Amino acid sequence: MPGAAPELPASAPPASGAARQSVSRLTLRLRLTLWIMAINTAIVWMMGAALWLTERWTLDQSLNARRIERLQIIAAGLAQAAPADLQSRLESIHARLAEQFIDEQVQISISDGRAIVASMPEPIPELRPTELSDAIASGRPRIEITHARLSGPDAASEPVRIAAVPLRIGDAGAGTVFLAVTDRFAQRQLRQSRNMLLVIFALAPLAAAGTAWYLARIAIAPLDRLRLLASRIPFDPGVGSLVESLPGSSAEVMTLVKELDLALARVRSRHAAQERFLYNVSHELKTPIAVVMAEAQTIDRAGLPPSTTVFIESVEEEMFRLGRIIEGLLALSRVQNGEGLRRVRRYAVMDLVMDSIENCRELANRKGVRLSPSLEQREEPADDAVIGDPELLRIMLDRLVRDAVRHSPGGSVVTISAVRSSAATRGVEITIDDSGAGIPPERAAANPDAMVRASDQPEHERGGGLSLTVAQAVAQLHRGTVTIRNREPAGCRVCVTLPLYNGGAQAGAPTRHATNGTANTRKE
Amino acid sequence: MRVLIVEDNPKMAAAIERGLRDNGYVAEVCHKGFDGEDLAAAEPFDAIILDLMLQDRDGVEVCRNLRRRNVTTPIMMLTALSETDNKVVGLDAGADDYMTKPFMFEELLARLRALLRRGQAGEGRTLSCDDLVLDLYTRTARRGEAEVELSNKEFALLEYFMRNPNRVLSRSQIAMHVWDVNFDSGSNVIDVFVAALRKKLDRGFPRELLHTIRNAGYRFGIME
Repeated sequence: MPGAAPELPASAPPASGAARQSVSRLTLRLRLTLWIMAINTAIVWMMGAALWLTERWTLDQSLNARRIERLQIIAAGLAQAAPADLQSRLESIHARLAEQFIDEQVQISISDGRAIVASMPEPIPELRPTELSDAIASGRPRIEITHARLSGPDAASEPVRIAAVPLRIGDAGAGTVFLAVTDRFAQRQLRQSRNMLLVIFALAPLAAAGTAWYLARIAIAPLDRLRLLASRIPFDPGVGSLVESLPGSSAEVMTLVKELDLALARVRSRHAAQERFLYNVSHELKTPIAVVMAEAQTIDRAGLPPSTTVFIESVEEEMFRLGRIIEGLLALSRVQNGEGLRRVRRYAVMDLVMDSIENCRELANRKGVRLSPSLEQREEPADDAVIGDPELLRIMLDRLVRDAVRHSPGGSVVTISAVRSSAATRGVEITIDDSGAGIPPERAAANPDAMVRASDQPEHERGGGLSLTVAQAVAQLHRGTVTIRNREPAGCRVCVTLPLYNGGAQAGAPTRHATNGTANTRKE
Repeated sequence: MRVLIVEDNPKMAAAIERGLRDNGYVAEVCHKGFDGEDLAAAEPFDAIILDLMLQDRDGVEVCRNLRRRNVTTPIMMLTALSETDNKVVGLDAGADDYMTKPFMFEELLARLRALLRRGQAGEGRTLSCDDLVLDLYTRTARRGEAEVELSNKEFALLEYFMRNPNRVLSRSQIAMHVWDVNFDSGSNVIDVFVAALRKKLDRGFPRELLHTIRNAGYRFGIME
């Protein structure tokens, strides 16, 4: 629109709770889960590692003991043999050993302390008779594991467990008998254990996560029940004592619940007092205003001097305005108390618009202003429903339309239209266009705080006063917005945006529904 | 036109009485709920203006009792309480309209005129046409086995149609009777409301009840 005035963000979006408070992004359940999972995983991993090391050590010791025991038996047999028979004896021993050590390669050798004197088959280079012989000089058998090729130059090098025990061969003197056996069995065993351990290591975090999630749920279940109960408190009078509503909870939870019960009782008591006060204000203050207004309106003005007639009209007008101010303040109070959420129901937008036109009709007639509604055809009935407090919505729209009428010159038109804002946002835009003086230029400048200060503006000034403050509060309560801007060449446009009812719950809107309602006010 | 005012505040009652008399109504005042109920049941009135909070009893109770006693005079509730719940209770009790104090007297007169035009609910508790039944007390509508959800304005529009079956009703007639206003000739309000009502009433039913009469308005009823 040419020369369109900047739009005032009359209704600022509600401040995010996260921005105001230091709230962890992680939920308690998630944090508990992560902690339990980390601890469980660490324990499982440490236990697994310890188990694996123990198994490896045990296997090692067991194999070593068996090799040495076997070699000692062999050495005892060889001790009886003549040196010339050593090679043939070794061949027969090797043949027996080959049958016993299935899948293993075996070598049996004899050293005189300096070099190998007999071997079946050929001695491997890794066999170090000197070192081993020296080592067993103390009289204790030795065993070591090394990498070697036992079956010829083409074979791959693999772990070989070499056992050495002292040997006395007839009169020839001392020597050493070696038994070299590939370590395939032990390596296989250890590999299997390691693979199993890796699987356990990999699964441990998953299992720990599942367990932790479940444990965390058990841990926070009382909190969840408490939260659900607390969310029902403002809407369900049946929720009395939290202690009675949460039987069987743990001692810690019950202590908390008792404290909350006490706090709730205090809040309820204060709220009841506030409601009584509002009720009394509503009745005791509005009744005399209504009496004065009715008397002023029905007084016989025939024959009265013009000054008296003007006075009566002024009384009438001011009384009406006073009544509206009280209504506005009460509405504001209800919004600020969160009381509006207690009377939420589904309400037709078209009815809202037509109600405001009916309610402002007489004022418009007096001022000679024409009210012109403009509605939008809808495909589905749900396209015309908002969730909210009909009374607050009516007060909001009444005040905005009444303001538009008050600030419009006689003979002009105030248009009230309701159209869907967009399919994506599923909102409805109610706009009120008047041909009045518009908002003052200084307020037309983009000012995000415009609505915050609206209550400080003079009531007679467009864009200020109680009406916009009420509108802002009511719109915010319903997750809506209110904007105001000047129109060209003259006038003002107030735009109220409300989320539409979407079949389940209004997007982002209050979802508590009243349990009663007129038959033709659609119930949830 | 005789109007009964049941209002415990003498000044308020007197002001309403004076205003009604100045506008050609015959007004009678009663300050007690019990007396008002008996008077409304005993004598024929064209409309009753009933305060919600009376000293001796609740106005809702008076309203409910009058309906139980088959007093079908249109009732307008009047109260300083503007809470929706109070309106809901009042309308559920059988009241036809509701006004909150303070009010503009012209507004009261306009609504009273609308009530009187709608006539007494006395023709019966329900209005029906074909398989559509409109319950004026519970303010519900059923077509066949299905409940038809209507907003307040749609209900008022349907009631007007059902009170004038098989008649061609112009847009201005509808506007005057249902909203007591005359919309601009270019206004689409009536068309939008009728379209919404038609979707709710006729969609999925073989026989249509709402018909558009080109250049004339709308007609309600089964077309032969």
